[in-house]
Amino acid sequence: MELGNLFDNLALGISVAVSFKNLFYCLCGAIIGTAIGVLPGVGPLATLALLLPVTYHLSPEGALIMLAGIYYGAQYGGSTTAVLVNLPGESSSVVTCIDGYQMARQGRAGPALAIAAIASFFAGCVATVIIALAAPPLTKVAQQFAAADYFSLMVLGLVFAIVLARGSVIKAVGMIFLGMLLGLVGTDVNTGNTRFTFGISSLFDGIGFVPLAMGVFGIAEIVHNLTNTERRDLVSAKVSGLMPTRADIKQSIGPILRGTALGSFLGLLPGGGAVLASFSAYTLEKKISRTPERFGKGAIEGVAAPEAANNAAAQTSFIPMLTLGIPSNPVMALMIGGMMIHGIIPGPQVMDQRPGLVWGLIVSMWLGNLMLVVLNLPLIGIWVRMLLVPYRLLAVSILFFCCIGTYSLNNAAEEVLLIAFFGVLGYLLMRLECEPAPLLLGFILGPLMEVYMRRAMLLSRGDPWVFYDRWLSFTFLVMAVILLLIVIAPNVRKKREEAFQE
Amino acid sequence: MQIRLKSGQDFATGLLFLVIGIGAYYIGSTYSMGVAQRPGTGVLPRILAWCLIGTGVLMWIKAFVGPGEGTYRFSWRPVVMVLLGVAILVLYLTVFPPILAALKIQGDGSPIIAVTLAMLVAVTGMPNTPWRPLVMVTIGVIAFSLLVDTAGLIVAMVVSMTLAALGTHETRWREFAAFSVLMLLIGYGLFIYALGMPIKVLPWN
Amino acid sequence: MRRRDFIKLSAAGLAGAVSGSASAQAAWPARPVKLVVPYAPGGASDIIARPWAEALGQAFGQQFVVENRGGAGGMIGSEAVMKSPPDGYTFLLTPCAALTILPLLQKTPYDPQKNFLPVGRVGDTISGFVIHPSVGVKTFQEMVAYAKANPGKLSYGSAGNGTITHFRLEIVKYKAGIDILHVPYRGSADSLNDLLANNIQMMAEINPLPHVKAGKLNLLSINHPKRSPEFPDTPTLTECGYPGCDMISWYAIWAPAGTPADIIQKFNAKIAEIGNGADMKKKLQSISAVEVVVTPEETGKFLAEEMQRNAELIKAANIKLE
Repeated sequence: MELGNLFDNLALGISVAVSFKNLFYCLCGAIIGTAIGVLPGVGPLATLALLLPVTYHLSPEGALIMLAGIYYGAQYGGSTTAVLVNLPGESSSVVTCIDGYQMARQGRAGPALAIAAIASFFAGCVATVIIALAAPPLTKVAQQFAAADYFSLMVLGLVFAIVLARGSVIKAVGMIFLGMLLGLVGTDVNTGNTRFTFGISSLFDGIGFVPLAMGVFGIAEIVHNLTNTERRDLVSAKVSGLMPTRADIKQSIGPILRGTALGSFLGLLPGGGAVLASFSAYTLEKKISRTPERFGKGAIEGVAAPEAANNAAAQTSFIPMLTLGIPSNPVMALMIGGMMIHGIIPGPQVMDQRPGLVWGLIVSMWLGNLMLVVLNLPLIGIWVRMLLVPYRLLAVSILFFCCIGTYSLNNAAEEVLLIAFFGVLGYLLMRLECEPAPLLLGFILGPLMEVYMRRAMLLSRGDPWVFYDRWLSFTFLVMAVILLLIVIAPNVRKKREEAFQE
Repeated sequence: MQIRLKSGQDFATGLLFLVIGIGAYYIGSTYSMGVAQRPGTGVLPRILAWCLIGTGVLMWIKAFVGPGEGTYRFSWRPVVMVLLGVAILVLYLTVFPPILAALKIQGDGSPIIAVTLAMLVAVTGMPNTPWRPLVMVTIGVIAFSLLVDTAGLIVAMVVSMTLAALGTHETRWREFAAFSVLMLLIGYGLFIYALGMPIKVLPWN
Repeated sequence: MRRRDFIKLSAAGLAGAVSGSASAQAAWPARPVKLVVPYAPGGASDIIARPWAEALGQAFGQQFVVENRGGAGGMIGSEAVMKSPPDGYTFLLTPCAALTILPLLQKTPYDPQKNFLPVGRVGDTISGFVIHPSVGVKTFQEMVAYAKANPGKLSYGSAGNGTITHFRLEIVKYKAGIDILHVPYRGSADSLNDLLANNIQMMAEINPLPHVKAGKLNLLSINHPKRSPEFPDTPTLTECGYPGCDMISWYAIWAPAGTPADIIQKFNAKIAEIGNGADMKKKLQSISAVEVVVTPEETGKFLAEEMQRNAELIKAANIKLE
């Protein structure tokens, strides 16, 4: 893209985004998004659905700016609960829980939250630049991915989920399979048959991510902490410093850069690459680190990389929508709905016909990220102070928010019941030292894998070799196998050594 | 040759995987497999069930053959509690339906409640598991789901928070009372006032 | 809905209840009216429903509120309206699929002809068969010839099994005797992605149309009785030699059975008035839709015709939800 052209577009974008009204909408979106992200249960999708009618009365630019602000604002907020109380607000925050919460338990919640915000800001800026410079050619790259490639990518993602695990590999594998099975519960969209629903109609649409996460992460954690009083009190009492140290920042630079790159790429894939962003970034950091044993115990790279990745992916997932009119996830679909209500049909012509809208949105995304980091950094002090609340009260409030947050999603009391069920299951798993993160990742990836597997088989007219023939798919599968071997090999060697010793 | 259980935890984990895996396979085998070009409903359930069973077997191998000195001591409590949990489930499937119908408790929730309670009983059987926090918190959540539709948000919140607070002996009741008022205000302010969710607040609305 | 709306609605509802039902009928609408859309918010139905809700609200001086109740392919929202009191304050605004396809493929709690009274049609979305240029055909007839010569080679993406896009393919397959692979997706957005990448070759929906305009896809036909002003050179399906195969996605408003006839007439008259107006025509055209102004009776007749045609197709082409 010619530089002159780019400056013209940016100037146009700035003139649209920096109007008093649009700045106000951007700020509204950022604030609402952060609040939504912090609240367990309610997520950006539900909020956007609620606010869509309101945006009808705004200008199309204002509407999109606000909706977008809510979406990436929620990414900032979601990491807050992940770090503070081990509750993932959204699927992208599951990985942040792993090291972020451990850092909080060590009294380092402040630096964790700060690095999360800084990483997100950096990633958001870079992603915005990417969108501005290279949206159309990147879209072409994303178009190379067909169903078989997505399937293999998901398989690779599942192997990443194994690497994530702190403890026993076999248990992590078991958790992934269990998670995938849980993901299958519900109606099989292709055939209309219900699977594993036992006739319970509230399960027909499947198990929601929110009840599962609230139960397995939230309730199980509460029960565990209420049971083990000594361990817990030692930790929450000290809160050392709110800001990250020099060492923290130095350690985070690499992860932030790599996470941004990975997330920016994965966000482009309309078929759902963004969901892989956070944990592939985490896995990458763990694998290339010289001290991988720190991961899972409060390594700051384990917060910086996923946060950068998921924010970058959230921004670049706008690209397919802006260039082709294709939504990468349900939130984008809602935004397309918002555009169409204003009579704008999304597609390749939108960039030409309404450049003000597109570039205004792009510029406001950068402004929104700036507003968010300015908003969130001071809030860290407040959040961390909340941790000083005696746990007997904190537990009750977590319970409170889990229940009401989940109930408010669909006014469905059965979903709250599911929290109870998964709470008990989660506690059981915790006692058995089986980690919840691979469970949730399997839960998300399993159904996706099935959709792509079926589509790939349908398109290949029943030929299973399609996964081998397509070079992308083949590459991902080979990477998955190699990674799996790397993970298993040390274990095997260790066992052989022990056998020899006996 | 003496086979000694090296790790109760690995054994239990393996057992969990095997039970779920076999159960999933049993249910999944009723789903059709489709053809190569159109993989059917049953393909992934069966594959995953096998994988889970395989993982369970590996865990058992590790439990018996893995590193460790085999200092695991057998105790009756887990077995008793698991059996009790199974008994609850069986009771639910056979005896409860007419009782529930008579009391006019209906809705889909009851199977989930039954399974949750059964699991709860079984899990409290684990060694070193004080029953109080686990049971009270779980019952608190269940109470919320049962009350919120009929009695409104405030009642549901108060009951469930109180039940949860009962789950730990650290609770100081005056402090708790003040705190719950605060929580109710925040909850109302956020969800009802700010977000405008159509949730019933008081029992008589 | 927002807290303000909620309070306004409850206050209005209280007033309405106090004033008694008889006088409420005479002054219909005396309080806000609910238009239930049985799909998730932000979907294609919203894009038709919301402009209408606003226009009706202005015309009647009472709020017309769109309420989304998605799930089960349109069944949940439709069932909810069927069960609402027939007092003229709850209506169903839905694309035809929930009523003309769903009840024929699975057991629904409602019978479209018994449980609902037609009020009027509010718009048809216009789309047609698009094909990826790499196939090398430019007209519908060429496509049919290609498909006959290469059975099973072309593939077509639908929004899912049992959706109207699925039926658009099936009826043409049946009438032309060709074999095209049906690939179900979860919604048209996913299928558009694969179409652009040439993983599938054909679709028949509105979202590829901007790409046709940009020259990336070829439009073979317009599945509507009249040609589209946006694509004046593209023949209609009827002109291509396949009358009665249009499978239009037509939107209409339905009232629960038992709603008083005078309310329905009043409503329909206003729909006609708005539909004939230039404002609504322009709004609909910008989203590739066109208004069809008909009486309630004609709407009911159209429903019956469509259901019959679909039933025959399902039997003849052996369409199942698998």
